[in-house]
Amino acid sequence: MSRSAAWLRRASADPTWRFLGLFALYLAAVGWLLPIAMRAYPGVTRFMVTATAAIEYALLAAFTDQAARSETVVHLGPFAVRIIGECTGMFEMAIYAACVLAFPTRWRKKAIGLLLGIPAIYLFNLLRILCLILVGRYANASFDFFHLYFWQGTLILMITSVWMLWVYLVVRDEAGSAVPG
Amino acid sequence: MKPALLFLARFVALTAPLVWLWRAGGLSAYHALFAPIASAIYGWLGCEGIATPARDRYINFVPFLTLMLLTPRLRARRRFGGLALGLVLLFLLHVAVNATADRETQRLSALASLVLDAAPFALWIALAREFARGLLPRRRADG
Repeated sequence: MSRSAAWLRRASADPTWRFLGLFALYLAAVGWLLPIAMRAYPGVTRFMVTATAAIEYALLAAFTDQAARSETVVHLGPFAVRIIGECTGMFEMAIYAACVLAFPTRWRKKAIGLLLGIPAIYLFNLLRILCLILVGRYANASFDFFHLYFWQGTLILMITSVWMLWVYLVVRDEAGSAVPG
Repeated sequence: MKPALLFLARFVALTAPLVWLWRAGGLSAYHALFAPIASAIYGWLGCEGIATPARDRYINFVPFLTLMLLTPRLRARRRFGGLALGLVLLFLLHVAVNATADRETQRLSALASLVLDAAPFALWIALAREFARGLLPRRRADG
């Protein structure tokens, strides 16, 4: 047996490399399918963007009369943000889905992970946008910092925390130690 | 559960100053280093007219750095060796992803954006394997 074949065999027996290999495969599949689905069903993306804007507006309007909305633009006083496709958390959901699907556990547990985790990520995402709108309105000078912080800085945190919570609460009995200690 | 929450709190706390540093000069410094090396690599590969549409996502260094620094029970050699290797791999990923962008629109594909966003997580799992093994079951369950 050649050295590369032996290495591949060892790597596939290691749960970490197996997980990463499957994660890469699922991520590639999702990354390939996502734009095709968005082109085929533009209404879904439009609905998600409009719904996100409507929810943000409703959350703000519950506390202040400064909130307003026109289609996908949410206003808070003089400050306004346009909700775009990336603001719906689609990429985060795609990465999370690849994490869950690649995890070596039963399909029933994966289904629970997707059914509970994806809405959780969406809720996290709504919270991120809400914080950004409040920062934009009341601490506009810090907006660029917070935009970067909430977008890329905490993106992995959001995915990792929901994923680890799923591992801890749902897959716990199969995992080794499950949480950092 | 408490250690996990502590881990998340530390992540939030450490990411904030790192993002601040990134904005304050990290990105400019990185770009100053990145541009000539990337140009040399593209030139060597015979690629021309490559811009840097992945620039907004170069910040994926920050979550990777944070995860590697905060992961518990990692030996120093694994932590800092992995950190160094991961930073080099992220650099190479930035070089590669910029080259895949649409030449006319200078936009990244959804797949390229997903890869850049997921890279810190994947590298963390690969380079902090001692920790990841604690999360993953030893043997594959059915399904």
